[in-house]
Amino acid sequence: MIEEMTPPTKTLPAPSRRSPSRSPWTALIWPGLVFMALLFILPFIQTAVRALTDPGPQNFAIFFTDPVYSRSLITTFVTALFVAVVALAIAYPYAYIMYAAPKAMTAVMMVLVLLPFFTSLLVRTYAWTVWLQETGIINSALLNLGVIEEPLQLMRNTLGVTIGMTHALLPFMVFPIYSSMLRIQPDLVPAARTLGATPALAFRTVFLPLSLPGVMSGFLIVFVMSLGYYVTPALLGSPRDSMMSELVVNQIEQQIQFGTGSAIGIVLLVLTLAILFAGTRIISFKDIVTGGRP
Amino acid sequence: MTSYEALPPIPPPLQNISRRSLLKAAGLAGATALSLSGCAALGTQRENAVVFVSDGGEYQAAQRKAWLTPFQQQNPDLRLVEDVPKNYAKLKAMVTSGNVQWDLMTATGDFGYGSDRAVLQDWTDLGLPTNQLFPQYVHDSVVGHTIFSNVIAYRTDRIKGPGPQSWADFFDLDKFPGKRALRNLSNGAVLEIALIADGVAPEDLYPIDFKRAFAKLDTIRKQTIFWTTGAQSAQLLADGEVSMAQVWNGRVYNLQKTGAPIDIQWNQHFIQADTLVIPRGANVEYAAKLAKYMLSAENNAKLSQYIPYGPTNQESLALVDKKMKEHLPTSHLDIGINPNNEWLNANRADVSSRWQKWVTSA
Repeated sequence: MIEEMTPPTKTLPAPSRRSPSRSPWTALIWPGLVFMALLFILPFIQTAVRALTDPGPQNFAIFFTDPVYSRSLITTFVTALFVAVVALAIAYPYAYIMYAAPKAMTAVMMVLVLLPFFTSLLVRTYAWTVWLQETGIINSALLNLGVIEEPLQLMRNTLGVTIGMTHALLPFMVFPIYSSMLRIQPDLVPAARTLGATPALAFRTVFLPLSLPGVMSGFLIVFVMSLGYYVTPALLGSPRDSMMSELVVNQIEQQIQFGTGSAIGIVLLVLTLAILFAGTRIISFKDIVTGGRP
Repeated sequence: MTSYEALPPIPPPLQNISRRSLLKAAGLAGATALSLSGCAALGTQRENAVVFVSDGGEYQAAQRKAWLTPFQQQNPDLRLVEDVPKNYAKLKAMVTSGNVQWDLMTATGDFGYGSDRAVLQDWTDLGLPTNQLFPQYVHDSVVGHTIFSNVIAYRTDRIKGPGPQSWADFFDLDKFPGKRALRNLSNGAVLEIALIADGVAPEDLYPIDFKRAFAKLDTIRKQTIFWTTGAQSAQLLADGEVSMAQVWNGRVYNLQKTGAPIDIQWNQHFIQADTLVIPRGANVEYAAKLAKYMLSAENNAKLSQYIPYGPTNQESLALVDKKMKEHLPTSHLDIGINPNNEWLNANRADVSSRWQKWVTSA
């Protein structure tokens, strides 16, 4: 496959480098901007205002007075971190095989990783219950084989939540990594090899560093998306694993306290932005969005 | 795996985009704006419509067959529209923003009492047959239309002999070993169930003695799975994840229909009424018309033909579906316990915060 590649020439500018402002097509950005302004930014401002005024800024006091909220904040971030780390551990080798495999296999692997997108999250989560619960497929098989005496606790804990969420979010990790691998000059690794590097050394010193923008991008996307998960922790976790989104739903839908619900949402958002900002110290925001496209 | 060289050159028409194309884009944006205002206009074209909102699924399908379709046939000049699912927050947001899209919504638990009345229309003088209804389900802005119940359901393959007789038995892990399932909702009967199990008389349940309730819950906590959706509670029983559960009686009926080895104990069943509320600013006349239809002695009994929930109209009791009768909470009212929704409503934030603190702690 590598032999088929044409070596890129330096003289041709990358299409994305063309100054976008010169193209009249940039007018097409307006519907998107109007859409975002009306349906995202405006409601967001309303939420912020509501958090501060309905009935007042004391909405935020809940984080200091009620240990449930501070604890859930920690649970939320720890779970998101778990999910991102596990997803990375699965996605990197997966993306690498996709990259190195023959075209037909790459296509099959791509479909496989996309499949979760085509089923409803609720159905997928219940399907995990069928596998993970005490009377589920895994436990009954292991019990019947005599491997275990007592059923393993595979769900209603952080493990279950991590499994379900990793499954749901895996595509968001695989694709940035894969596309960042595609952008690595295909002759760099062979070049390292001809200079005497072992395959492992060539991978570690050439390929891996060049694929890092995709890793960072996937990691941050998965981490940030995990922070807002609701259905999966509610069904695969225990009440102890309550994430912030569940507490928001409780405030809004059960207690009908829009002010407190908004305040929790704002705190989650601010912390998320803070993490994204910290992330941009390591990788530029553009690279997070584009996976390191030049 | 393409290098940049392999990309096709940009075709000339794209490079020569003109003012004409810009105008097209502007036109598109204009059309979008128009269609948005069209949506807004739809919202006001409701003079002849009544919008009914319930929980969806099998339950709303039963309501459709029992009440909505016949009502529509009887009132051809009215347009009955269904929406789903009911949502208290959405109702409040509609009323406070002055854009009320619903006329009649079902509600459960402590919604519609106390401060919630600010967003609801009172039922007073709207001609409901209140003198026929069970008085405990008639309130200023909340009127019960259907009775369902939280019952003890247990797996007969796990629990031999006579099953649990009370909530005290439910909490007795020595007498009935096995896992339990309870609802993870502060006002979802679970605190009351614990108190009843601990020997509190139904009339002394309120104000809730939190310390006592949580102490009782602590005794089975390690063996208890908390469910959040009705489907989950049914699945826990059906798969044998638990041997005993707090479940809505309709869910047990469905499991029994599939032949699952599950039995029901009606003793001390905790009754909840599904109620009707009118958002303030809704089409009161038509909402009341539909509500009156649902609550009449003849019609109120009809839901039981499709789903095992009972009527709130006392004169309907004799008219319920004969085959369904033994499965209805209304056939076991003498051994049932009623919640005090006014108290739960007035203490909602406190009850919820205490429950969350307990349920999320290790």
